[in-house]
Amino acid sequence: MSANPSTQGQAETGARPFSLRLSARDLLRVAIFAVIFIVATYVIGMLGIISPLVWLLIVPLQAIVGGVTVLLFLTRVRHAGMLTLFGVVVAMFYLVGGNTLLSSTGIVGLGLVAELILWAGRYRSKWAMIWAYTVFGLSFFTPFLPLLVDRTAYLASSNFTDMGKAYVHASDTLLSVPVISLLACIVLASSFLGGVFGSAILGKHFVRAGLA
Amino acid sequence: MIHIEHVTWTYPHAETPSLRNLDLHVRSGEFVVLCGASGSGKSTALRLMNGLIPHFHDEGSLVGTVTVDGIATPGAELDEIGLGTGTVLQHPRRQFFTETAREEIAFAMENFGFPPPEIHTRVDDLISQIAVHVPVEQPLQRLSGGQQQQVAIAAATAHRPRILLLDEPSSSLSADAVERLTATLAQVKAEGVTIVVAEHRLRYLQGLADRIIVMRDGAMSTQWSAGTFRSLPDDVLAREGLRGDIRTAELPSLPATGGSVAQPSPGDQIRSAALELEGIRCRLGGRVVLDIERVSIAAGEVTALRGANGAGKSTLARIITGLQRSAGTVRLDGKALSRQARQRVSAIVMQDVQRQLFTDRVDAEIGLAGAGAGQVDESETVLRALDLDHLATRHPLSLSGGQQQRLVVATVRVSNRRIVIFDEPSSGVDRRHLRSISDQIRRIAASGAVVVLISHDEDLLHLAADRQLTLAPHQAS
Amino acid sequence: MPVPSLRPRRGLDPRAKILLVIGCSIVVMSPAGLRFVPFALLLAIGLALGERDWRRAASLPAAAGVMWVLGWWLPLWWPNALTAVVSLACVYLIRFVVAIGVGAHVIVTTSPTQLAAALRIWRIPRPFAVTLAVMLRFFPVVGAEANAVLDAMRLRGLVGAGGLLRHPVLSVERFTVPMIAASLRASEDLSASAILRGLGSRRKPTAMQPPRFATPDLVLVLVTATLTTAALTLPAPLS
Repeated sequence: MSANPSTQGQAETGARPFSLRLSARDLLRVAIFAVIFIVATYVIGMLGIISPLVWLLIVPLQAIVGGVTVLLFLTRVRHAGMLTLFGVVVAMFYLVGGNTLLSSTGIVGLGLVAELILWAGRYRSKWAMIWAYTVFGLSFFTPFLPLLVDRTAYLASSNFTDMGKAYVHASDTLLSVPVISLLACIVLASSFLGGVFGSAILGKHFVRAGLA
Repeated sequence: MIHIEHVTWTYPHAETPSLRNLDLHVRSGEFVVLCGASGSGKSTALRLMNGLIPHFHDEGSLVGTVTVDGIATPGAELDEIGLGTGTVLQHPRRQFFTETAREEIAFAMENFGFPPPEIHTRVDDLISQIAVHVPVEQPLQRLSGGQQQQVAIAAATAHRPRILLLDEPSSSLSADAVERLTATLAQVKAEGVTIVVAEHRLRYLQGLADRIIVMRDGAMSTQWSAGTFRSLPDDVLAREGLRGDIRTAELPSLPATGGSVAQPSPGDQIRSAALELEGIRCRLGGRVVLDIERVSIAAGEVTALRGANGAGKSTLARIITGLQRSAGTVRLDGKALSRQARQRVSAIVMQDVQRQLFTDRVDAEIGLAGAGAGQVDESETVLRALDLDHLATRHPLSLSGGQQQRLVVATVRVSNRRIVIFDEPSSGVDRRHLRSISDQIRRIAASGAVVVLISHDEDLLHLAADRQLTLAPHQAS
Repeated sequence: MPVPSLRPRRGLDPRAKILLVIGCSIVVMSPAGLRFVPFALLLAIGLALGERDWRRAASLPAAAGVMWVLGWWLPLWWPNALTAVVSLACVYLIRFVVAIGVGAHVIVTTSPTQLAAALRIWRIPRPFAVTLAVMLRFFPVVGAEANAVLDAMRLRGLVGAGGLLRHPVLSVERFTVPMIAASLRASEDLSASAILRGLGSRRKPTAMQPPRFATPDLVLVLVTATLTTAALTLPAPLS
């Protein structure tokens, strides 16, 4: 190790202040972390199928797993635009694997906003990283976006009224704007916690293991 | 062709340099072998030549100059260096980017923008050369280690680089695969390509090498010309920590029957033993991947599980340990066990042990493993026995590959498992530690466990195994 | 019965597949998407049969069937608040089953180099084209690592609904940390080798077999057109 890695890091960023020229290695880095992000959150999602008891935990847990992945990724960001690229490729993948156009656009937008936050923190601020992930973590809410925008079209089926009063009532309460907004708040809180937790995991594991 | 001048290199997070004031020059068309014990810096020197050092290790420190084919590598782009050099890393299986030999061979030429007709001619040419020994239409991951090596060399030389670099190419090859490797390298050399091989087995290269460089502690320690080397006896090599020829492990076969057994024996030869498998059949993706009618594996000794890639070795390991569903019965000490019950008495020491380290401290890792077995007190004894006690507060992932493996072995020992599987334990570990690995394996067997060792490494099998069960890919009937 | 040929099967033009899957995803997930679900399901089953993946061909209709029973019939037989919630979820989720079914075909049958070639023809900028293609290569690698970590956790008794409920965050930490560490390590040799062989460089790559629109693609277009017409004209069974 060089005697003083921090000065060397600054010298590096000073010479090329986060230019937009992504090297091949940057691209492969985005790719591996995007895949880890997708696979890790998918595995957590599958836990829900195995035991419905944990359904309520899934979205917060996904936000936490995502937080660990994204925060480790952010420590390896060397050029501007890497988080935006991350958002775009994750959104593209979800679009292929079943997601609404609206949700995927949402993820791209969140990636951009997160990149701006990161930029404001000069790409090295811990809290900027946490807030950037908090914003990006809202991507776990994007699958519910369409329900907010066009809920009747999604759920009103022709035999809707045959299903009885209980059904209509349940759908009215469950998918009302306040309930969905509450869900959004839960996701937001979870992704903030995910960011904080991810940052803690960085210190507890990856820094000590020499991986961050 | 290659000029390394006064180079000192320290990996990030390392305390001491891996190369110290190294001076090394390779002439055009020369065939140079870099050898030395593990940690001597031979692989590091190779990574310097293809630019992975410094480009793949941020924050490492490099002093000195490196010029490869006229390019100063530290300031160049990796693809620029790659255009002039071909690299074959240690595990071909882990570096393939595509699924078939054709695509893999075309890969570099496509990326470098060769015109498609030229790519076609070159690929056809190389494919016809390797097709004698390699089933070129098979998926790459299903080929044997030797066949994968042939494809990897073809893929590294397809764009006609003037330099070919190989890192321990013989490390997991059988004796006849090594012969083919020698022939292939001879042909590449005949085309005028400069070749540098980092290797610990040497004799197979003695007809080809122009110069053998022995490295020690990150610098050049001795040089032999081809003539001198040929006259050196093997014990001089051994003193430098080097090995001459490849040993083949001849082990007595374990009697077994079934479609996946390479040499089935008459059923009456199978005696009862601690672990008995009966009627094991497993289908994956609509294909029968394993069919073992009967086999008994004894406790207290080490059974080697051998066979080509795709013969079903890992599937058998997963069935024994209860991770994979299958037809048939698995009995331990005469009692048929369910999958869940098998999971509770089994352990696997995986090929990549990072997958099975779950905590943030070495002692916590032992504590977690011992918690289920109720013997936390033993943990210190085990740590000491495996020479890990001075690392107790370190993060498991910060340890070296060999230390991580010993830590996993320690967790197996404190959790007292009856069935222990070792999956290619020597693949990611320094050769120097071969004997220590084999001691670990032996000791677990001596404690009365059923030990199964999956390995291609003849040296390790020779040291650690008592008998062998060889599997062959199941033929669809 | 098709005879396996010596040369690798060419399969569909990756461009056709990408357009198909994105189109399918957008249509099925749109507000009026339920109308298309049965037809897209047929398409997904057909594609699975085409690549001889019998398991997927069987599990897709099974999964969709379960969603249909839970979503459309359960609340009629047994109306209460709980079944209503389950039903609402399934009415939404059935679209995912179908979209994922079609998407799986593309993910499984498209090689990273084919995808990169297709994206290049469309002049998708290099960062996106390279990253997406490499992701395709990394999926099996990371998937295998995730499975291996879960295996290791099972053998150590660290998997189970009980443990997850009692210490959810700790359980997640024990999965995530080794999974990320192992995946990064597994990707290292792959990345090094690919970059040395020019992947992602600023040179202009070529393709040994440029994607070509051929007969199978024409069949796909015709089948898709027929199914779309059917979805628009026939009475919609699911709405």
